[in-house]
Amino acid sequence: MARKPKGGPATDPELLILASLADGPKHGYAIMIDVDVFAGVTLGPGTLYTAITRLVDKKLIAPVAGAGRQRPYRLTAKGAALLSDQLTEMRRVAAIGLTRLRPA
Amino acid sequence: MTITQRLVQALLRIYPPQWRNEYGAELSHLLLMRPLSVAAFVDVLWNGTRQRVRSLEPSTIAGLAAMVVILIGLVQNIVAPLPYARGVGTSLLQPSMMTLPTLVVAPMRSNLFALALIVCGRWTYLRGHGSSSPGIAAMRMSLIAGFPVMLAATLMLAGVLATAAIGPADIPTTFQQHGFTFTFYDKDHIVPSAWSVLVSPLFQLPLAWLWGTVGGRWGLNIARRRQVA
Repeated sequence: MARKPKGGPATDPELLILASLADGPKHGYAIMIDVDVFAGVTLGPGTLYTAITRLVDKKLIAPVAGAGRQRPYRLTAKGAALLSDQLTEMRRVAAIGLTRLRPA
Repeated sequence: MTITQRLVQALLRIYPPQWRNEYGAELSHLLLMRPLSVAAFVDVLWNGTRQRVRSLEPSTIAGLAAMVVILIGLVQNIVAPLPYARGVGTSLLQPSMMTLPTLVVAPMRSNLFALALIVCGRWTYLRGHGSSSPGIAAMRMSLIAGFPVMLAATLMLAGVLATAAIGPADIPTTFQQHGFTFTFYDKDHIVPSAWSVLVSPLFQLPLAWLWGTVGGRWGLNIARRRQVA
C-alpha cells in the first residue's frame, strides 16, 4: 500500500478516480480499493459517489451497461486527455521542485 | 430488514430523488458490503447534504439565505426591540414615504439585496443555460425572503402577534414585559395595519423581476463570451 499523503493535488478524488480508471473500467468498490492501494487515500463512499457524479456530468467518465447493482465506469476520450494533461503538468512541476530541492 | 439496511435507506433519503434514481442502488450496495463505520456514515451524510443543496434552485438557496437575515431582524424586534434613536433607521419595517406601499421591508430595499437579486438572475441563467427566466427566479427569491414578514402579518391579523409603536421619549419594553409584540418606530405612535405589513414584500416583486432580468443579461453575456472562447 502506498504511503498515505497528507494533501495536495495527489489526493483530489476526481483525479484519483480518473487515474484508477486509466487501466480499464471499474465499479465503485473496485475504485475505492484501487485508490487505497495505489495512492494510500481512503475515499469515503459519499465522497466517491460525489466525485463520480461530477465526472459523469463533465463527461470525463461514463457508466458501462453492467449487470446487477454494481455498475462499472470507464474513462472517456475527454477524460483520458484531461488526465494525461494533468499528470504531465504535475510531473513537470514535481521535476522542477525536486531539482530545486537538490543541494548545489 | 436489518438495522444497517434501514440506516442506509435513511441515509440515502438525504440525497435528492433524481440522484437516488441514478446512483442510489450502487451507493446502497457499496455501504452494505462491509460494516458501516462512523466515518462512512458522516461522509455520506455530508455528501448527501451537498448533493441536496446542489440540486436546489439558485433562487431557493439565495431566498433562504435572505430569509434568515430577515428572520433575525424580526426575532430581534420581538425579543429585544432597540431604543427609538437606534431603531428608527435600522428597523425591519419602515415607512415608505409613498402612497403604496405604505411600508417597506428595509433589508429588501438595500443595495446588497439588489446585488443578490442580480447574482440570482445571473446564476439562474447560467445554470439553466437560458431555459429558466432569471426575472421569475429573482421574484421567487424575493418572495421566499419576505415570507417571515408575511407570516408575522398573518399572526398580527390572527391576534397572536401584538403591535406597538414607540416614539423618541419612550423606553422599549422587553419580551418578558410585552410578550409577542412587534414594535414599530414612529414619533407619532402610529401603528401601521397588519394588511400593509402583509403586502409590503409583494410590492418588492416588480423591482426583483427587474434586477433578476439584469442579472440574466449579465449571464447571457458571460455565456456568449464562453462560446467565443
